[in-house]
Amino acid sequence: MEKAVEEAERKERGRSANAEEELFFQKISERQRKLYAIAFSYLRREADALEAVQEASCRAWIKRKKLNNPDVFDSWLIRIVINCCMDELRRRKRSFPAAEIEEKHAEEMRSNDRIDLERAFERMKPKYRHTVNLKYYHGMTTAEISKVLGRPEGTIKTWLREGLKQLRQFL
Amino acid sequence: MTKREEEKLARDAEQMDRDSRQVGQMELKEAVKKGIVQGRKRSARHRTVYGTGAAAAAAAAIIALSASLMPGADGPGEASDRSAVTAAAPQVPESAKEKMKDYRGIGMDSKYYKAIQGGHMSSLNQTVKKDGYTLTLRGEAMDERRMLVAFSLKNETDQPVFFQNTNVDFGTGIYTKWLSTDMAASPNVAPGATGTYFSEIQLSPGTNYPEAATFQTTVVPGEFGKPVGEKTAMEVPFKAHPQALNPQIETVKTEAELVVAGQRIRVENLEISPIGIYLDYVTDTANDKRIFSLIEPKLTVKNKSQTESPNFLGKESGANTLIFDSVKLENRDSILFSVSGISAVDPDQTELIINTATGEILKGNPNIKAAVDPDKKTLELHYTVGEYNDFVARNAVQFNLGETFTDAEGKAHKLVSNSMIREKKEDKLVESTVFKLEEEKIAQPAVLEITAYWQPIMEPQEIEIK
Repeated sequence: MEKAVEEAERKERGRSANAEEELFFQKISERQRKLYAIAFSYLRREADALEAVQEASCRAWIKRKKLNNPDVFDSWLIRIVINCCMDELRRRKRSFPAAEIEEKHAEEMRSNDRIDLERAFERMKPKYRHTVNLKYYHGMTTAEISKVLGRPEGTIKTWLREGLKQLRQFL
Repeated sequence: MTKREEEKLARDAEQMDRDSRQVGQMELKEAVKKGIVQGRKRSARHRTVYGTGAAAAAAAAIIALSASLMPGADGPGEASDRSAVTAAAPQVPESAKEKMKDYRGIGMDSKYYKAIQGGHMSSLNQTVKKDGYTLTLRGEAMDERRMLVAFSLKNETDQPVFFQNTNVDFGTGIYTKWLSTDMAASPNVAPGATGTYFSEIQLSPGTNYPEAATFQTTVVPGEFGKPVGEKTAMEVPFKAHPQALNPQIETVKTEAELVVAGQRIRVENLEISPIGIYLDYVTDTANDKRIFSLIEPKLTVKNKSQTESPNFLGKESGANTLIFDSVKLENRDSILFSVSGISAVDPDQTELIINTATGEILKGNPNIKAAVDPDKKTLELHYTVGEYNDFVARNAVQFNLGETFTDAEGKAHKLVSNSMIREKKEDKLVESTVFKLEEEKIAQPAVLEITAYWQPIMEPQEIEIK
């Protein structure tokens, strides 16, 4: 009898764990394209951006119980994916100290603008880079950026102004 | 920020948005799924290390962790897929295949990622040293059409280097052509550093490629585009695996025909290889228009429970072959091929009659403008593609002219293109090409052949290939 109860409890625990995982999967899946777009804007390579989404999903699962306010799920998730991207960029820098340029297919055109911008973004302070990226590449408002970066809106406006100033200097 | 810089930023944001939309829904879902599975495993490890310390739990966590660290480890649902792949390719044992863990932190295009992740790239690890450079050919994957190679260059000299003239040689008269090199982080290898790169080589279907092959590249001191000093040609002989992927290649012969705006396009062959999908088509000789491109070609592969649409990678240069990314889906029941339209014109619109000395266009599409620089001996052609929008920027086939042109006396001259720029000008997409006119005597006017330009006819069509 005792064994049967234990077995039933074990099965119930398994079922609720699966349900939680399924729910979590659904929640991230609904936002996966946005997360990927953000990762892609930092890393510019499909394989790396996919890996960043994978790593962010992993970290989000591990830290899910630390998120007390479900209303900030989106900004929390974006913050995690940005951190994954920054880790990857740091690793790239260690592996390849030289500036990032790429040779393309013989028939493809090289975009000097993009190379210039990538170089400029690399030289910017991360906080400015995040602000400019989220604003200009993902159309987020200062209020939304402030939630992601955990800073008051006034600070975000200053960072945006400073970020654009830095960008102009580096371009 | 100036207007110019703001435009630069806006253009890049648009491009980034377009590029980021290329990824498939399935790949994204898979990444999220794998991430959560990985998260569960990492949590289990933490619980084991900091928790009760129960021996059984620790053992379970270690097994789970080891599995997650295994090369190319996937979620539990995919274990059977992988073993099926391994079983179908007995020529290369699992231990002799490239592993994703050895490429961590190295950015690469998805075709290389999928080739390594899918266990399709054979390990080679052949090294040659010369003049302070160590070139290691790491791996290779080939089907009948393409070869993908991964290689590393260690630079033990005191200046940065880059490389050029990369190719694979199978012997005299055996066709190979370098298509592209993926320089994930930088084309330059700094002194003391090692760079890893990937190249794509075009092969000729139907050719019996031997196993004996030589990887060739030339190391050039200096930074990319600014060579200095003596070049070093390097060669790495290796044993290729021309048959290794054959058991996994599915060939679908078909005579399915698309009819777009009355123009017939017959799909003859679809080859599904682990490193790509190739769709061969022919245009009917009775067509009254010249077709330059198929707009938004799409493959939809289905089995009983799943659907997958591989990314369109491009059209093979000089051939009516469309290349798509590989698919994971097995037991494929049906394959659909669709297009949104074609870019095509009447044959008489492919002629451009122009005075190459003055730039005056006597006959040709009104959207083409010409300018001549007599000092530089260049002819500049500007083609206004149309309104700039996402769709046009993504799909417009590049304006192109034939390699030779004929002057008024019927003499053929070479036409060498110096540069090509595609840019947004006042809400229009404009392509500008500069041609070098080397020869002094050109009897005017000259007749140039337009081999491709954007003239869309939108008419969505879909056919069943399988």
